Amino acid sequence: MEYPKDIRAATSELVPTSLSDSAPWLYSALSQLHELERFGSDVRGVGDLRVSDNASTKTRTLLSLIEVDTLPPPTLCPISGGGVGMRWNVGRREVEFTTFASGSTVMAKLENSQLVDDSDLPGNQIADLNSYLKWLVGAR
Amino acid sequence: MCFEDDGALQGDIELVRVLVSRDWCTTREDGSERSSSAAFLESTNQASCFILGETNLELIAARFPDKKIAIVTATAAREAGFVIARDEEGGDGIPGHVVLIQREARPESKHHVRLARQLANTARVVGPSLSRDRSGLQPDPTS
Repeated sequence: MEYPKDIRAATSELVPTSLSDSAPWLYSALSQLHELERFGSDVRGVGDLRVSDNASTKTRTLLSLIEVDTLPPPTLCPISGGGVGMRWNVGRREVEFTTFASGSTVMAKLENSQLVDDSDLPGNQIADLNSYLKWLVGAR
Repeated sequence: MCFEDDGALQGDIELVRVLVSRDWCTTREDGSERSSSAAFLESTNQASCFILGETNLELIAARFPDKKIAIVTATAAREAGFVIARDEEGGDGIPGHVVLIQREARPESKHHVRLARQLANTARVVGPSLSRDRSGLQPDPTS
């Protein structure tokens, strides 16, 4: 699969090309992130939807740490004030990563829309986000 | 800017959050829609809303064409730890603008996200056609 050059350039630092080539979910995530970065704007009456550099970098870092290659494509959305939300759904299970403008991230597991577990990931702390994603896809 | 809680905004007074991102709502197993925590989170802790009874839905529809809205009550917002402060200037010409400020949880913490999700779960998501028929503030028939 051949990707647009600007997306390749935007993702090459943290995500190996071989992984984005082999993981469709990752290509989807990076494409959506690129769209948010490119088209986010300050919307009066709603909030500033421009993605901060910290949130952008942190989201790429999180994506680069994921070792579960059987994920469906996530849904990315802006968090007002400069953040990025990322959500995966598999059946009744959901995993959400909420990254704020500062780069602080909160992870949450939900089942039937009810919270199962959540965790703070302040700063650049590397956490076991893969355990959440393995739970999502039912892997051990 | 320093905002003050307007203690008069209580009870069943309804607040409108414009869902400018289509991914600020998600679909339940039964096909109905619910808003997501992302819709009520704000990195600067000032989530913009409009007071339904004081705003002009036609202006909102014109400014945000084809966007759904989430409607919550003042009680639900306060139970989720938010205070409600008036901010007429922030509406950019649309009346009834307020900001929801989280006071119970530390900003950017998991508790902050939990409370935003709590508020989002109380919301009803309404389609964009409502602004053309104010009496039609019912759940979106497609949801």
